[in-house]
Amino acid sequence: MTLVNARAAFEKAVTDAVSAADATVLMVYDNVRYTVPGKTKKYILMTINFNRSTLQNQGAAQDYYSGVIQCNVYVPKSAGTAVLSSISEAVIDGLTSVNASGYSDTFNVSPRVSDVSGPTPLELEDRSHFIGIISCQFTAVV
Amino acid sequence: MAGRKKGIGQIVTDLERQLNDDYNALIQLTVEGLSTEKNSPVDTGFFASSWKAGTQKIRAQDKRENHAPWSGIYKTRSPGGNQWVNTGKKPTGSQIKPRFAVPEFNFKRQPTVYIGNTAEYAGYALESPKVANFIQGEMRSLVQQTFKEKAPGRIFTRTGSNSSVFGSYTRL
Repeated sequence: MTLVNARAAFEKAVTDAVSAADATVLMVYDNVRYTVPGKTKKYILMTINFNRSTLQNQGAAQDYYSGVIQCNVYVPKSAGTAVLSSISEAVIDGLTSVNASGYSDTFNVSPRVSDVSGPTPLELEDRSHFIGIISCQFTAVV
Repeated sequence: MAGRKKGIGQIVTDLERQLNDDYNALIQLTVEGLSTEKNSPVDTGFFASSWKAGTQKIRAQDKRENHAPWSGIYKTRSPGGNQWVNTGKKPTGSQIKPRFAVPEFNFKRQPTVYIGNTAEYAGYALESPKVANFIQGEMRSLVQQTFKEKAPGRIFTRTGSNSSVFGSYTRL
């Protein structure tokens, strides 16, 4: 179940950081049905893509996961960038929290993130929300 | 068999040529990689076909409606057959046909190359994780593979029936 644990480690890290910063922000994860929240709601779509699952050293293959995490932060439109910035900061703090020396690795997957980019702001004409895109690389190893 | 002799003075020229080849290969592979269903969200295929490399920032200003074959992809003949009508349905015949050839660059004269998408609605596509997945994921190994000393000739294999030019290739 290490694949499940790897995903859980990152999702929990981000979710904890976001809910500590702003409990009204909704989190939406991969393959979960959702209805686009109303214009005044704030929410985050979190996607985790695995690009690699094993590392072939000498002997048996080792579970080694790597890939890309993308968090799309949706905040009410035409209300300035402060809300987007504060939620994005919480997302980034959540992502990088797994790198901290004091991180408690409850899922036993040694999660790491690197090269966090964003938040890239997107103001799309027919979208009800203002969007910030944050992405980073990750690894997890058993 | 005796090797061809070269003066030590050639080393800079050889190194620069090698770097330039790798620079162009990386740009080419990046554009080709992005122009696939694996790495770009595809509805009509216009976005995936509109990746471009250039020395100026790429402007997202091309309307799908003005470019064949994507212009008519949502349309069908009216029951009478005398006019085209919009189906309003998701098209089934998406096509990825790269619209821009990748030019040759010189890393000394053109040290900055922009790779971007010219589709007017490119911003919407960034919501999809596919593009970030390629740029933050595969690009790293692409850079590592490209910028390293290698034996002459590279062989790539492809499996499956993917019509992309890059997506499913594996370097041997």
